[in-house]
Amino acid sequence: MSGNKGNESLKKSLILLSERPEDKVFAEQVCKSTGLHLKTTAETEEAVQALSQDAHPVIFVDGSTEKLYTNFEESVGKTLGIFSEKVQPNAIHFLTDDEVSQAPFLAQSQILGNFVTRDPEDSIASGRHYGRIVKAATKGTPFDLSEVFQKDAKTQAIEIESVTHKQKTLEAVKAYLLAANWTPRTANRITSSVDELLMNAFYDAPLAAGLTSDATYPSLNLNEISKRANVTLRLAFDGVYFGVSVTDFYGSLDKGRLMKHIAKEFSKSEYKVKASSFNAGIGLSIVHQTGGSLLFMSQTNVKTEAMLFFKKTDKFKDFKRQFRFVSTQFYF
Amino acid sequence: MIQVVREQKGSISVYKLSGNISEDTHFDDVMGPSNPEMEINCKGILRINSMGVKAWIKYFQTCQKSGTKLNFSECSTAIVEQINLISNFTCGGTVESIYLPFSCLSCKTELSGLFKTEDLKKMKMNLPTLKCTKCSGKAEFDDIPEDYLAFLGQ
Ligand SMILES: [Zn+2]
Repeated sequence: MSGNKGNESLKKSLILLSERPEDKVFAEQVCKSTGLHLKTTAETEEAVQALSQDAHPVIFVDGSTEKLYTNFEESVGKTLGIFSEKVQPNAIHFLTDDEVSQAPFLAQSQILGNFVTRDPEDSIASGRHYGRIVKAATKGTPFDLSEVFQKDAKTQAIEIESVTHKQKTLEAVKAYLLAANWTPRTANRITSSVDELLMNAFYDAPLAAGLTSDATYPSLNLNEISKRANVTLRLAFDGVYFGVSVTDFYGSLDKGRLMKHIAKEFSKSEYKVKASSFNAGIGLSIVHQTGGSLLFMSQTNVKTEAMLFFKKTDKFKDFKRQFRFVSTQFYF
Repeated sequence: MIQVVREQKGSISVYKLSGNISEDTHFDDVMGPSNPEMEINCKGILRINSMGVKAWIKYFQTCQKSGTKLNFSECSTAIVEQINLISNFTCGGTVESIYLPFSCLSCKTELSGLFKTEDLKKMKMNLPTLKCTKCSGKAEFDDIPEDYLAFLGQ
């Protein structure tokens, strides 16, 4: 295993299990942002050993193929046990060339915390951006959008007291983006994604928390729900990346269900949208498929903050092809 | 909110939709009962959220079941995205024409051009350029053709 020597060994480490040069460039950038000490290996056993010996390490694993993933999972199971406290999904990051829907073995993995789709064109810039996420997550305690951006951008927070204020809030988000010179199409696209996060916070979060039920949905009184609603919207823009988050105070997010929704492609004929049932599934699937990265920070029974990150581009096709990840950070 | 303007073109009832479609959209109220031949003009639809998608499917599925001939025309980019993302979005109807997004190579202005679905099929992903209305520069199609025109192959 290669790594820096000296007092670097006292630092927390980032273990990189990959042979791909672009993953090394990406991980080096993350280390620059986080101060983590990089240890690179192509040997699964060696990476898992390091996972067992280091204190609170972060690990990046090449998950490009099912075989690579299975090797890692089996080694973790044999050496540590899947449910060992050394195996922290929050700190496990799989790097792949695919989208979530194309890698079900990762999306359904019990040890998945973070799913990163590589950007082959710019590992440096994507590593720098992702470094902020890893930095916020390595603290080991819940964090919000402003902690991801830190000094790079001023974060605005807006309290939404009722679902009836949703449309007005969405128009404000769109106006904010247009004022910051985002193109009308990207502004509309991002606004739609924020709409889905708000829908989740207002309807799906209380449903998942058991406060409402599917059966009551069609006749659900909007005011009944909005009485309990207390949702915070945060916005941040550093000139390149726009971050937006929606926080609900239920903390009812279930990772398995979340990943299932995100990985579903409603464009496939086996998934038809049913008009009768209520679920946030299509919302999250659409948010993910239409660009941007997702980060779910959940503190069980306390709060869930769903964050979205979008890179500003001149062309819409570059907006769609931007570096993306789906990250879950759960605190119990 | 959504606005609907209805006009009659011979035997066809034309509905011009504009605005945003969401959980507040009640299609039965704004569109009324289905007609034997309906043309849904989607030029003015800016956004549609997941609850709007459900309301849309619920209404147009009912039309489909009652034997209505459905035709979607001048579909905005927001609607084209849904047609591509959701397999049963058009509820058995035909897509007559769509807007294609373009971006000016000189001044970066976003433009859109209306194309008939039949013509797009003939073009086989070889999309033309447009002349920018602002600076007369060249504007190129600005999306990923395989994504944006995926519905043509369905
Ligand atoms: Zn121009």
